[in-house]
Parts: sequence; structure tokens; C-alpha cells
Amino acid sequence: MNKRTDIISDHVISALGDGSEENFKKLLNNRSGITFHKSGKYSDNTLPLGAIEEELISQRVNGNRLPEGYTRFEKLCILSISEALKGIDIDITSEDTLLVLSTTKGNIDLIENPEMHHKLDLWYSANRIASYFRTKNTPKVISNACISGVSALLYAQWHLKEGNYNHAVVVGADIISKFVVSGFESFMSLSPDICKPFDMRRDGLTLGEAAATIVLSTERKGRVGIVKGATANDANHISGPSRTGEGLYQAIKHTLDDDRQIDFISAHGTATPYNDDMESKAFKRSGLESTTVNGFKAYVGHTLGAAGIVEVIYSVWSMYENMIIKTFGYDEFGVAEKINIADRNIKKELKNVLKTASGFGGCNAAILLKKNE
Amino acid sequence: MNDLNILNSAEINNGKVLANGKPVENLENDFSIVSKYLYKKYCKAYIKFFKMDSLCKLGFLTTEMLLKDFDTESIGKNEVALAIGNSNSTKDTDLKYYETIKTQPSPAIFVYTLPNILLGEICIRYGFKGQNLCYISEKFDENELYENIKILLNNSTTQYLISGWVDYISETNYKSLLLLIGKNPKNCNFAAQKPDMLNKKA
Amino acid sequence: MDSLTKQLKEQIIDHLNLEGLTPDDINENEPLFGEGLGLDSIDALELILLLERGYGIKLENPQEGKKIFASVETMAEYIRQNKK
Repeated sequence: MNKRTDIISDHVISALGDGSEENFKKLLNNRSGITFHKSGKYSDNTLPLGAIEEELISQRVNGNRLPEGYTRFEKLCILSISEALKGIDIDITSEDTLLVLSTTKGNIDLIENPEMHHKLDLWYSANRIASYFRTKNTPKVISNACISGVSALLYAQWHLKEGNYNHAVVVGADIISKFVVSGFESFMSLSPDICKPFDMRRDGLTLGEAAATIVLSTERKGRVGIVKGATANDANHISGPSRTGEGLYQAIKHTLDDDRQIDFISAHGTATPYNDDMESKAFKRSGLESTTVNGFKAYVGHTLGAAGIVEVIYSVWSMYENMIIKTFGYDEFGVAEKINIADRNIKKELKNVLKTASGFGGCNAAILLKKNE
Repeated sequence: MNDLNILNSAEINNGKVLANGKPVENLENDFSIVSKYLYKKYCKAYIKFFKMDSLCKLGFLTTEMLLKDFDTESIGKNEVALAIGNSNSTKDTDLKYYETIKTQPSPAIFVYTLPNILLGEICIRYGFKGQNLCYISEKFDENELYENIKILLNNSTTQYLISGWVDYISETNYKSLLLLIGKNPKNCNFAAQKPDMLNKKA
Repeated sequence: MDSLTKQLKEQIIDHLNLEGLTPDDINENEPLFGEGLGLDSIDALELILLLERGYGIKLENPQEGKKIFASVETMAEYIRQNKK
């Protein structure tokens, strides 16, 4: 039961580019990948979005000789997994390896075409991706709103700790679509500018897209491992965050036990007024008010089902480099409880890092990452 | 299944309702009629019910059947977890929402285009604040159900777990099975028949 | 109950999927949010859309909604004053 679950490889493709290293280089330089998109494809309004450059995808598709017949969403997943598997000694086709897909909406861009509706099933995409890699095990799909990524990592870790598998390839992805953009517009929760996490003037989120992969293993050693984590529900409202931070507080409580030595928190930080307030309350209640907190959403946008994986990868690279990345978009403090927001890059030894996420349905998640000595 | 402490089970299968494996209703109507009938007969007034999409209504009603003789007030609600899967995610509601995009996107429908909202609605109704696991699989798989129960119970402080399958395809094609599992064998009093959905397999 | 109040109640039931209710179940002077009908922030967004599409009234500041949507009666009054 006390098996170590290490992160042995990772890959991100996002608005910041292709590859974890490329992404992290831009994070270090505090460069956002969010750009303004004229009205048309996704919305009648001009909107900031964290979109992946099409050229990047086609380059990779050609480079990996990816056959025809995969959707944009599936291609991104396949490319990210392929890159993450490079240079590690893991057989994805083995019975010992589990494949987990984390997504909220998968091929939702295809809803516009009735002939493509059979491809909307999330398991359909997972099966396509699995058959590309010829996995022996049936792939698993976790779809838990904005905590999907963290939830999928925990789910994979539980399987590894049980000894059901020795390795897990966890891929998280979601793409920008008219479906999702119009929905968030109808909620009046999109900011007209690049989002401003934890800032006084924050006025909504920015959507993004990404595919990101983490390979976990109990047999191979990595520099950072997942210690444990938990999810919890606010039991309050399906779309509004808890006013007390109850669920996130519970998730953190179950994750940290009495160990409060946290060097840095990578928060969810969507930059909606209520979410960021809620997080500040939960951190305060957890006794983490002096711990440095950052939010990555203004670099790549809110990538929904990918967000948890993307931000765990960014946190892991922060641990490699012992550098807390500045909260882009943050200028002036403005959340309900006084917490310590990273307003610049901060050099610091990062041994224990907490990643949190919260989402619709009242769900919250926390996961503890630890640098191996 | 034998080493699980199943306290209760409830199933709704196209108008056929079973509690602890025993038939309690056999309705031959579309879901909109069946759901209203079950709500009126078995549920305490809960106005949010009418605002839910069909998937959430199905999960909600199954939970009401599951917990109708169980005192949820006597247990620690922070330690009640949910692990629920389905095959069609929120496809029915996705298509309904997509229709509204053409004129005026509806926030009240969009909010139901995530499958885990179903878990959220159950948590809100009963105040459950434990772990949430929402998964999608091509088909209902008994082994997967047990596997998820096992990894959740072994890796969290969960004392009670509502686990199963809630899948809504259309007015005439919907299916659910929920089990109430107790971690502590002492609490186990499951003397009923094996749930129908599990009987057919094996 | 005047015809606008009745119509509003019907529209609210329809737009907010309050299927189980009839116009008579809604008291036009009782609060729509919190207690009373128990509406929430998503319902508020739907009511904003109802004003826009049903009565051609565009709410520039969603914060105004709080006062306007206090009850069916305050909503009706706002429509009488602002309808073009």
C-alpha cells in the first residue's frame, strides 16, 4: 500500500507551445500565450483565448506520421502521449500500464455535424486513442468538470498503490469550441481581457485549450512523486462556489493531514470573483495564509479537463527549478481573505507543493507533490 | 461482490423500479412521466428537482429510492463519497443546449452539460461532502464498479459510498443502479436479493 | 392578478423549468430568490434573457437584477416602466 508513485515523464501542448520545457521557459519569462480572437468562429465578440497554434499541431502530426481519421481533440491527445513516452522505458501496450483520459467535453466541436454525433462519446475518443497505441487494457475516462485532471491523477495513483498496474499514462485534454465558449458567455463569466487571478479588478475567466500527459510509475524513479490527494464536494450549489470554501477546505484537510509544511500552492485561480474569494477562504481555514500561492490561468487560459494535468506539470517543473512562477494578470490584491499571492517569480527551495482545483458540481480537489531526496 | 458491505440497492430501468432487488414499480411510460410519478410518490418536496436535466433526475430519483429507509442524518456526511459512471455522459442535454445556441444560449441548460453535476445534485440534496469520482465507460462493467469501490475505500477516509451507474439516453432508454456501501462490516444489514442489473451478468 | 403578472409567472415557470408549479403557486409579492421560490444565480441569468427577449429590455448592469427580480411584482413594475 505504501508504494511510491513517481512522475517519470510529462508533456504539455498549449497556447504556450509544444513541450513542457518550451512551456516552462515562457512561464519563467512571464509570457502569456493568450491572444485576442476576432468575432466569428467561437463567438460574436472579440475574445481573449488560449488557443493552440494550428501549425504546431500539423507539424507534430506530420512528424509523428499520424494517420488520417483522428479528430482534432484525439490528435492532440495522441501527440501529447507520444511525446511523453519518448525516452522512457515504459510499454504502453503492456498489461501493467493503465491509460486514463481526463476531459470534460472531448470532441464537442463535432456537435455541429449530426453525422459525427457518435464521436461525441468520451469513451469513443478514449478507445480511438488506446487503439492507436494498441493498449491491452481498456482506457478509463474521468470527467469531473474542472477537477478532472487532478481527479484522474488521483484515480491513477489509487490503482498504482493497489498494485493493479505498475505504470499509468494520464492524459488530460479539452479544446476550445463554440459550444463551451457560448456557455461561459451565457454565464457572463468570461473576462473581456486576459483574466486576472486573485486581483481586485478580476472580472471573469479566459478559456484555453491544451493536451497534457503525465506518466506515473511505481517501478521507475522520478524526481517528484504524488504523495496523496482527495476530492470533496461543497454540497452547496451546482454552479456557484461555496461561500465558505467548505469543499476545498475538506479536500485540503484530507490531503495534508497534520503535515502543514507546504512550500507553495498552485491554486485553481480562474479569476471569477467568487471562485478566487472561495479559494482564499479555504486556504485561510487550512492555516495556509502565509504560504505562497500562484495561479497559472492567465498564461494558457482555463483548459478545463486538461487544467489539472497542465498545472501539476507546471508545478513539477517549478519544483525542478526551485522557482515559483509569478501570477500573470495579478496586480493588486483583492480576495476575501488575506493570502500570499506570488506577484513575481520567487526563487525558493520547493520540496512540498500543493495543487488544488475546484469546479462546477461543487467539486474540489487537492493533491500533494513531493520532491524525492 | 461478496466481500462488499452493500447496505441498500436501487435500480430504475426504463420504468421498472427495484429496491434491494425487489420490484416496487413497473411503469410503462416515457421518462418525463415516470420521473414525475416517482417524484410525487417517493420524494419530499424539493423544487430544484424540476430544474434538473433528465440525467440528474434519474440519478436523484435512484438515490431517493436507495436512501429512503436509511437515516442519512445519523452519519458523518463528510465521509460519504460518490463514484458514479455512465456511457452517454450528458449527450442528451448537450444536444438540447446546442439547439439553444442557434437563438439564445441557455445558461440553465448549459450548466447540465457536465456529467458530474449529477453527483453534485445528490451531494446538495443530502449534504454529502466526501470524495467524488465521475467516470465514463463504453458499457456498464460489474468489475469496474467493484474496482472503483475498492480503490476509493482503500485510499480515502470514506465511511459510506454511493456507487453505480446512471445512464440517460432518451425518454424511452435509461438505466440506473446505485449501491450504498458501508466500509464497516458491522453496519452491514444487506439481506435483500442481488440487484437485477448485477444478476443478469455474472 | 393582472395579465402581465400572470404572463410573467407563466414565463418564469417555462424559462426556469419549474414544471411542477402553476402560476397560482407563485405569490407575486414573495421573494423569488433565497427563500420563497429558491431561485439561484443561473436563474437570474435566465430572467435577464427573459427581459431581453420577451420585453426588449436590456439590463446593462447585472447587479441591477437583484432589485428588479426581488419578486414577480417588482419585475412586472420594472417592465411597465421600461417597456419600449
